[in-house]
Amino acid sequence: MSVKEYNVIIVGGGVTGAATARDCALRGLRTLLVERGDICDGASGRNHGLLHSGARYAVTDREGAMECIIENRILRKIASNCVEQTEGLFISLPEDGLDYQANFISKCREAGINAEAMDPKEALRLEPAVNPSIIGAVKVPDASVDPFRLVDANILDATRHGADVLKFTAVTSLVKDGSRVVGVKTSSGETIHADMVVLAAGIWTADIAREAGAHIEMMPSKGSLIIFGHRVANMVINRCRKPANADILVPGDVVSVLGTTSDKVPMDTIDDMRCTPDEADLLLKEGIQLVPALANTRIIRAYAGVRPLVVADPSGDGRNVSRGIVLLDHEERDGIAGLITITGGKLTTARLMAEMATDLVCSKLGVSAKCETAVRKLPGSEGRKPEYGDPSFQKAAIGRHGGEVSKMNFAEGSEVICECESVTKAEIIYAVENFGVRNLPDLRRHTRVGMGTCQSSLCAKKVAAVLAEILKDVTAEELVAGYMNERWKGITPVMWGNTLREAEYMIRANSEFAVAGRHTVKPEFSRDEKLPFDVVIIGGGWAGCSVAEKLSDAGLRVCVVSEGLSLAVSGAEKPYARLAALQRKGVTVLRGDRAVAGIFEDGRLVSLTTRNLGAETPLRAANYILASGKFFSCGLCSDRDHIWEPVFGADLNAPLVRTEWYSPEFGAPQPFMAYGVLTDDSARVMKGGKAVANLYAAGDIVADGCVSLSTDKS
Amino acid sequence: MQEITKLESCLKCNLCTLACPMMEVNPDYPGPKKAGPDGERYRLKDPAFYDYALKYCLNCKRCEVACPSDVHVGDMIQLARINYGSQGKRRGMKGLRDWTLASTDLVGSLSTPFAPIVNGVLKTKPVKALMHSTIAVDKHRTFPAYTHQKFVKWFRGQDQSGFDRFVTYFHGCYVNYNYPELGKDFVRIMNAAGYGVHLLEKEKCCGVALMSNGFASQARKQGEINLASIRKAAAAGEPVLTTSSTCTFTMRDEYPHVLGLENSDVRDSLMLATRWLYGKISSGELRFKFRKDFKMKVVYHTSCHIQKMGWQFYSIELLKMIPGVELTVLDQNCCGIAGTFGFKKENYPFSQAIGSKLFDDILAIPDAIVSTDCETCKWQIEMSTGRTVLNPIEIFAKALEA
Ligand SMILES: Cc1cc2nc3c(=O)[nH]c(=O)nc-3n(C[C@H](O)[C@H](O)[C@H](O)COP(=O)(O)OP(=O)(O)OC[C@H]3O[C@@H](n4cnc5c(N)ncnc54)[C@H](O)[C@@H]3O)c2cc1C
Ligand code: SF4
Ligand code: SF4
Repeated sequence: MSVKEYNVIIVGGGVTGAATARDCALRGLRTLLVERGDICDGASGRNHGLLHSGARYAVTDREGAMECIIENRILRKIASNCVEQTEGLFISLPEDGLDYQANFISKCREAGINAEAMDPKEALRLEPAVNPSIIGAVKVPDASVDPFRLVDANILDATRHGADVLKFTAVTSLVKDGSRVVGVKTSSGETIHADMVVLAAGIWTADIAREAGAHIEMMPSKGSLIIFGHRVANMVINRCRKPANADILVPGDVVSVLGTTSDKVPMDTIDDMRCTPDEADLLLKEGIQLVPALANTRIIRAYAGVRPLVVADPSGDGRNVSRGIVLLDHEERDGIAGLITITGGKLTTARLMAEMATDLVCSKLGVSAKCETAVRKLPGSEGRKPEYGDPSFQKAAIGRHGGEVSKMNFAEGSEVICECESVTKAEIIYAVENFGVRNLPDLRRHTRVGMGTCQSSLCAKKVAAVLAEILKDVTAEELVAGYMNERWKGITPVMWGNTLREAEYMIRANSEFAVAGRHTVKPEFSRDEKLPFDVVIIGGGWAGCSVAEKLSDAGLRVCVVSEGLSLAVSGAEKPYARLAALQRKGVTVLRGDRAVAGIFEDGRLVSLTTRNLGAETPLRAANYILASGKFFSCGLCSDRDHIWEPVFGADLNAPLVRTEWYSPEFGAPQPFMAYGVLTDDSARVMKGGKAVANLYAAGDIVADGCVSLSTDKS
Repeated sequence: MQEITKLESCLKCNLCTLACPMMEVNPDYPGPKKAGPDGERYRLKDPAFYDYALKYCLNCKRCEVACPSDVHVGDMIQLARINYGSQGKRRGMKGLRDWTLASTDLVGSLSTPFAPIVNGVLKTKPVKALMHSTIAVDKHRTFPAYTHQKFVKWFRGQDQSGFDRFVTYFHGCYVNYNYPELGKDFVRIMNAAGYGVHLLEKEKCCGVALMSNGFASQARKQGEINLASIRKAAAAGEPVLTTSSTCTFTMRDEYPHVLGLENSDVRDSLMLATRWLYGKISSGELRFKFRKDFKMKVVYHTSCHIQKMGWQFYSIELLKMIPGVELTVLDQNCCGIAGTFGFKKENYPFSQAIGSKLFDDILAIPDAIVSTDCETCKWQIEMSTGRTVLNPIEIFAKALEA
């Protein structure tokens, strides 16, 4: 067995471990970082992305606040492509009063944080998205930091200065020689020796330390967050009151992130953290106090992370939790030489934590090199920013990777693979080469593949094909399988409205979905020469077009109202081929129009109003067919706790409890895909418990199945 | 803003992309999804993400018609052009060219008294070559001829005092400067129906060309003037009728969505004459007498903007009501001109490539008159197919008993 010798092994590839690896490597130590999953798989990939100014802690934790503001200033300089200098506002709402604000400002100033009171009008001008009922605001130097990029930049700098990184390798135990730790044993069965081992495994640190005989008591604190599809505000927005749930909105790259909750959770749940539907509801309820527009903004995802909090005095009652940096010299503390723990702290203070840990390592090893991490720029931070004239397909990559784009070969990889986030093949190749990407979730962390509005509905297969082609030892199908489940996990807690529509699209585009129970009904369509049409069909998708073709062939006068193209016909060579053919047969086709309401008399539908024709000239026909599909095509609508049929308010088979709408497994049958309108045996739509005499349903809109309509021979 | 454009609702399904005529012919155009909702997320973060290729958008709104989510993709692109685009960056001769093309009423009113001279000059080869190379108007294009007598001048001579019911007519630049015949036909129909015609107290160009050429603030000023006059007409209980689908669409939809002009109080009173006529005829309120000997083979072309409003329904139904009209409704394809877009040298090839499907469809039906509600479609189709193009109102008027 070849045994490599290192000066230092760092356990954990979160921001703390990555920053420590960088510092150690810059000081000339032979450094190895071991991470059980991918880089950024722990809390570092599941946080809020707020580069704290320290203002949030100023009132309760002066020391923590001072650390934040110092690091905040450093990161703006050394990590310019990871940090966006958005600045932040602490807003006071009428119910908060202004007492807290006065104390807050003076405490900020004591900690060296420039807190500037503003009158509400000025604040609204600066950030028009904030709740207009604010009674006061304070501007602070908060900023937004992309955690994935920050960790990547640290890893890049570490490896470019000679550090080794082992991913997908867990440290299973520490190797001891007497009371001294001399290396680690890994999940691949290897033993690796080093002079020092640094534990930077976040909330998992306690397990590893315990095994070596050191007791660290940690208190996992779960935080849930929700992601909105785009930028709603361009500044960080905080509530100026005692920190509470959902009182911060951070603009993160092209999305907005709202959080967080804070709940003690048992240690044995930390490997499967998810935001619950109740937490999502709570976050949203509070969030719209900060920024009212959030009420109408698309939520694309929810997630949760665990804060690695350390109980400072294990003998106490557990209340004495430190939110600050915890550096443990186990030689001094527990008599175990060669072992150091660095944890607690924040994303914001990770560089400082690394400096503290590396100082301790160096002093143990008798190395005198000084820390340079506060003044050396991280890779990508050379000041390259997207500019007007840059080729459009490169701009997003420049925004993400700064100067690192010079290492991407756009000449051969200009094709955009993930459209929402404009990720090109060149960027994917770069990520594989520099970060050892093995699967789609990895690729997501190092680019932004699948992080956008569609959450990979559109691109999963395309991205998988490209990655499989690069990796060669894995197929695209294998890559997609687990990935969709991972996306699904974050979508289900917020699955209503447009998010539910997107979910239907995700299923149709990425699984072997088929509507169950297809059958054909042959109703007898009455005629009335006095009316302009025999049949008006709502929906120009598969079902609507099919029945329109049959009816028009049977000599009936038909009109099709079709808002938008249908997914089912989009596969055809020409997207409008079917509607155009109908029109050529003499069918009246109202493209891009939407049925909005009907007028009923004596159990019959007598006229139909459409958006474009308006109430003055409604469509009148002897019969009507509802073929408006499910959620994607707006045949069904939903909000947080309702599902309804929007044109007629027809009777449905959908329950009111949101958690019943979906299955947590992406591949499992999804209940919402079986929702639809109730009909009688002749496919007539039920409304208020009675069948409407001349309104039929066809296609996916029908509950528990899919109905084709045909003409009766008679 | 998001509430107007409905950025929220975009599912990234790309159905809009399938429907975009520019995508089909121009590999440099990113397409509606990328130019619209995808680009918008990045522009919200940093305007430097604005992509100059957005200038290729025809503003045909076919993307919006195709979108199952009612996302205002085209509006989003127009707004991006206005907010982040080339405004102020345009220099030299192209700037002059864009201004010339954009100022339909300014150029119109300067030219009308000199119509024969202007028409002659604009048609001669050397002048066209000069325009091609200096201000970059494509040499294949003929400017629509300017008329000797403006419509408004003719209208002043028409006695409308004998009526007790009135409609107000928004004639538009084209009727006024280039094609008064259409306006005259409109007045004839209204008078035959027992309605007198008023003009707006003040009418300005609707501003569509100003908007698409990046002069939004000028367009907004003109819009305000138009809306003020429309309000007066509406207050007097008169509908404001039009004969141009593009002017109508601009004032009803682009005003609020793109220019931010509030028009909800009068939007419903502003409509195409064909819609008004259809409503009155189908409710039995109006009855017309048509000539018995009238015969016309007509192919109807759905202009992009009437398609966006969904009002081709009325024009088609109206044509169907005329005895002697043999009607074919063509597939809904874009003619490629997109207002002033196709007049620019750099766009000419795209313009013709987009229109080719429509031209083939038209030429496949021999001896037919083409009918459409849009004047720029008319120029493009007449130039590209040699066929005569008439507004449905003109056909209706021709079929009326004298
Ligand atoms: C909800 C939430 C919001 C937050 N918001 C902010 C914020 O806005 N701003 C801010 O500054 N801070 C924030 N924080 C705090 C910040 O995210 C964390 O303090 C920081 O990410 C911790 O980094 P870490 O590297 O110490 O731990 P982690 O990122 O958890 O890294 C530990 C790593 O160790 C690995 N590991 C575990 N066991 C082993 C093993 N046996 N062998 C090898 N590897 C192993 C794990 O896979 C993991 O990758 C937030 C935290 C949470 C939970
Ligand atoms: S704009 Fe509409 S059609 Fe285009 S991708 Fe979005 S949802 Fe689909
Ligand atoms: S308006 Fe027309 S040209 Fe512009 S993106 Fe939409 S479909 Fe394409």
